[in-house]
Amino acid sequence: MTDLSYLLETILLLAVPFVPVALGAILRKKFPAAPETPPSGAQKAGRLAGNVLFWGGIAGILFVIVLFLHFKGKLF
Amino acid sequence: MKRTFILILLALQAGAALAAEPVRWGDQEYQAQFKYFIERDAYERSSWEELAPEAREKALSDAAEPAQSRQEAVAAYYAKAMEKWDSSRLQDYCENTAADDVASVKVWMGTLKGTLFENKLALARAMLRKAQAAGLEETDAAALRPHLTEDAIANLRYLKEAEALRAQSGGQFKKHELPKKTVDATIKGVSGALSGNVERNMAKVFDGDLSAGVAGSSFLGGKYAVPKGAVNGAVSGLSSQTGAFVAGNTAAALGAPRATSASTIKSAAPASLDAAGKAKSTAWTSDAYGVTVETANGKKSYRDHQEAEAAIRQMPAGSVKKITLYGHGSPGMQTVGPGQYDALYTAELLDGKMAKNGVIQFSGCNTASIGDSTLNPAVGLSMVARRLLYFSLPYWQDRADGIPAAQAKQQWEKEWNADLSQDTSKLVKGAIVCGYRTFGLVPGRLPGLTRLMGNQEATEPGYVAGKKVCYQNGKEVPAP
Repeated sequence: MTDLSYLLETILLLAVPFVPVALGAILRKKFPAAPETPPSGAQKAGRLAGNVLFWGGIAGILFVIVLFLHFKGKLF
Repeated sequence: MKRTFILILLALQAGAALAAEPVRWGDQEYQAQFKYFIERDAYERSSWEELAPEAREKALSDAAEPAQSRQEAVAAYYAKAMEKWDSSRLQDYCENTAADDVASVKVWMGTLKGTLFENKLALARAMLRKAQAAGLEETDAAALRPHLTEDAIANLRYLKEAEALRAQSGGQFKKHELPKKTVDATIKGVSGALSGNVERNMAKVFDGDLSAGVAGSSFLGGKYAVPKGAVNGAVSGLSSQTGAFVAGNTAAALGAPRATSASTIKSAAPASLDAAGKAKSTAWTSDAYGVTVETANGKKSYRDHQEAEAAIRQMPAGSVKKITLYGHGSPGMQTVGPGQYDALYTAELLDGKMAKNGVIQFSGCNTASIGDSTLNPAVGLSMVARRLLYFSLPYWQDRADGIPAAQAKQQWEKEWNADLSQDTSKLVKGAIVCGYRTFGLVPGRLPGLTRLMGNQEATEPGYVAGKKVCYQNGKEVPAP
């Protein structure tokens, strides 16, 4: 049981950096850059949120990679 | 006949019940395993009694082998520690023996032997301090005779004379200096031998043991094995004066000449600290670390942590306004190059030296606990990385090594969020102790930027991107 809960925790922790990227990708797909009709304010906001989450998420993943690359059994 | 059959059945049942009786806490038959549990905080009486009989059997059987090897390692360590020390070993034991080591001896060898070791260490440390400050008297030498070699005692006596010599020469030590060739060759031999020891100490905390989840399980056995032979070899045939240089005990008394010879000894290292700080490096990656001490007389940086420690030990009480320890950090630990600092060691070094509201700055990652929840995504990601690297990773490695889940959980749940800054602030009363709750990113350490900025061997971090926190007497206070 202990192992199972920690396995779940590890998977969730590893997934955390990918969550905003996935959300951003969904929003970007839902609110395309060049829609057939002119976008409303809400659609523009949705697209912007998608972009922020997507690229912010990618930046976050890179940040975590930088942290992990610094790990040699000791970190700074 | 029927009655006999019933009696036999009852006897068999009673026997079975007896066989299934769970092993009690502290059972004599499993002494080694229980000592192992106690040392690693794996179980205590209450948590043991909550375990099912089968789980107890499994825990005991899993711990049998590591407990046996740990017992042998501590016994060997104790036997070696109770031999007469030469100068190198005196220095090594006094500097590197942590309270945990003494506690381990008490657990495995019994309170009596543990106390004997503790007393020997306390006496040695006190006499080392006295030898540096006031010199040894005949009664002191007699007290040390059961514990130290005659050469080591003679070297301790020489410390004070060396101090007097330095004072007489007014810092112009060159005419009293030993031939550099001899000193350099000698010290090279010793530093080579000691570096292996230092590496093992590092591994104990960071690399092998931490990542393999066996922290503290094997370091005692080999801790002093290499230096003894190598140091003896390096010292043999040299005069007692050279021996004193080699032992490093004279480092404090002979501050000036040691610094003079350092530039030639460490040919691979920069010529001097100031040059290191100013000269532009063309290296792509960083090897930055150092100790910076601020007093009323100004600020001084040291690349060599031992040199810094020797200088600090000579400083008058209440003189350190700020000290920055710069290097790598991890929960509960900070390194400065090959040196390592936990709360106890830092407190011992700085005990009484800090000025009122003086600042101890740990410039290393994760040198404080993660603290409260936050909306800052960078801090959040840092916390995620810390949990993964300092809990999940060692936990799964322990499990892969066959360590019981409960034991691995208990070990790493305690370790991953350790707060070096707070623990230190509780020990160094009145001082403000600062550290980082997160990973600290220093631009000058990033590969490539190191080359642009030319600060490969910087001794101070400059800007640090991280969440800083400060404590005073264990309570959080605003950063000074």
